[in-house]
Amino acid sequence: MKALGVEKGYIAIENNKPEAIKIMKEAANGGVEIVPLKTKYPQGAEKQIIYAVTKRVVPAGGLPAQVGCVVSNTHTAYSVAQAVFEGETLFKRAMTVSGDGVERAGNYWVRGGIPFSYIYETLRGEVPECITNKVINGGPMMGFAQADLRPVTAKGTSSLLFLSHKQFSEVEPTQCINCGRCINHCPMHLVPRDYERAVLRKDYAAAEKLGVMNCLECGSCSFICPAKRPLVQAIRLAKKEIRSRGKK
Amino acid sequence: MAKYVVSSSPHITSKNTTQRIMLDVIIALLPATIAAFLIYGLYPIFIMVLSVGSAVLAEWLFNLITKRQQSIKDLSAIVTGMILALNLPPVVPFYVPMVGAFFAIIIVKMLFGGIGRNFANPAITARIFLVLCWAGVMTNFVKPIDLSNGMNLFSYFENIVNIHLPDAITSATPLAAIKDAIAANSNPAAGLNALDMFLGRIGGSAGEVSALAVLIGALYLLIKRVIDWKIPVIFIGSTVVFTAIFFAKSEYVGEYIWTYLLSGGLLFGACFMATDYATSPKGLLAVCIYGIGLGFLTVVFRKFGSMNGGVSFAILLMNIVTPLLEKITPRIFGVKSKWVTNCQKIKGLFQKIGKKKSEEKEAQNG
Repeated sequence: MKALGVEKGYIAIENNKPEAIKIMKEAANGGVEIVPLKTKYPQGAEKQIIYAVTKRVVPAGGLPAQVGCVVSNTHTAYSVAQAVFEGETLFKRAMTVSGDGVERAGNYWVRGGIPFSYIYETLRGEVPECITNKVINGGPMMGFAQADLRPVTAKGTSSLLFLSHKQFSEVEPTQCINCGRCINHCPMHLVPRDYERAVLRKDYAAAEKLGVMNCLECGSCSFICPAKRPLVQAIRLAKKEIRSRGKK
Repeated sequence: MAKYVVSSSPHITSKNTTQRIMLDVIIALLPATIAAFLIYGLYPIFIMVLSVGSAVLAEWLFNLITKRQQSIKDLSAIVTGMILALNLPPVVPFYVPMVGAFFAIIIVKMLFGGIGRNFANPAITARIFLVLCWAGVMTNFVKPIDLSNGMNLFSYFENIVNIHLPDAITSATPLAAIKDAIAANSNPAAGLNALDMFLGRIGGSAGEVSALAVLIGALYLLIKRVIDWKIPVIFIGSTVVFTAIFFAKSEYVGEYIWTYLLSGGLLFGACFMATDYATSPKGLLAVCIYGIGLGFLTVVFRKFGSMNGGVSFAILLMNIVTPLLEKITPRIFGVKSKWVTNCQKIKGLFQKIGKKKSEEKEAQNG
């Protein structure tokens, strides 16, 4: 707050963590206010959290600073405090390790540069290796699936999931039934159904015209789709195509 | 190194599937089916079996002949068959539901690309097609079964091949009675009993007569979040409003409102057919236009039309308008509405002009 020269700060916590809210409310002082928010995805996204806390709307394609806001992740705030007050550089981070594939799932302080295989072998315990069928670097909605365990942790590695077949979905898409759930659930008020149709006929210009570039790739559309259409996947393809065309 | 499944996120999806949604609709149609059985006996159930069977067979055959992947597993053909059967008069010859189901599935649904791509609700289009083919049969409504009067659950089965209903067992539907009342300028509610209409002890299409059964089914769909409340509520609400407007001059405006509300296919159409995913628009503004259009057309067809079935025609027409309404896409989060930006532009323009003028003035003064 000092660096920005602002007077008001908010700390948003989802209301399924009442203890955290209680502790933080006791600790908060000065211009800092604790805001309990309804638990819903993807509220952690920058524009969505600004709207939830301040009701300010960040213009499409704009930055939070345009409405006078700066959003800082809990971990970023912590690391800045460590650097400024303790003089400690960022060499470790809190990380969630979870999934059926590991016995000792939980939150750990992990240093940067640790191979995923080391974390897996350390926490696996007695669980056989064949249980783990998918490894995700990140969360279940937006994380990246890993082909093997050679990558190492970095400052952005917030979680590692070792999932069994039961824990992730592997379904064949069926024909779109036009139910509109993707449109009603999009946090950016976009039309994923129409983007996917445009992508299937390779009409990326049409997708761009309908605002595909505003997508934040939260995956809500693909999650909710009863026909299991790969909607966000199609959107990613469209965004990539449009970006590469823009560069030419 | 172990090999892992690699795919693009999200890695989890909801348990909801097309099949599950269709199963929910089938469950929601059961109260209306049971009501038809209680009111008219086994004959409407027999018709429903024929209708559902033909619908599934039609889809299966179409997929077989066109060498497409079989799609009957998604249960949508069963839903179409059930809705069609509930839309028919309780007593029709056996070939009517079969022709209707084949028309609904092959012409309206599969030829346009199958589930989700039909241009209009298959059941409603088939119903209108059948009305045009067999106008006499499709407007012959029997009285509810009266067990004390020598009738049993198998009554009406003598009409399987040919309809020959003596006048004694046919019944004018409330809508027809209301139409006569409009012409005669008399009380439309005369001879109608609100409780009978609510429970369904009247003449009408098999599944539409019982408002109670329809509402139970609709409530189930709402709780299961299969349908959204907006389309039925706006449709029914605007029907009430337009009835009040069109009959404002009549001294029986109140009677017109409640009889229109409980008669014909309004409730059934609003809850089960206007909400068809493929043929209803998605954005809030588009849904409002759609619902108000449905209510308006229903009242217009009922008051001025010569045929019964105003709801069917209203839904068919608004189904056709839907692709146009779909052009109204929701406003992207963070994009200001055109109204606001245009107002700001105009404001900016005035400010510019004002600035220029004041500058000119200053220049003159200076």
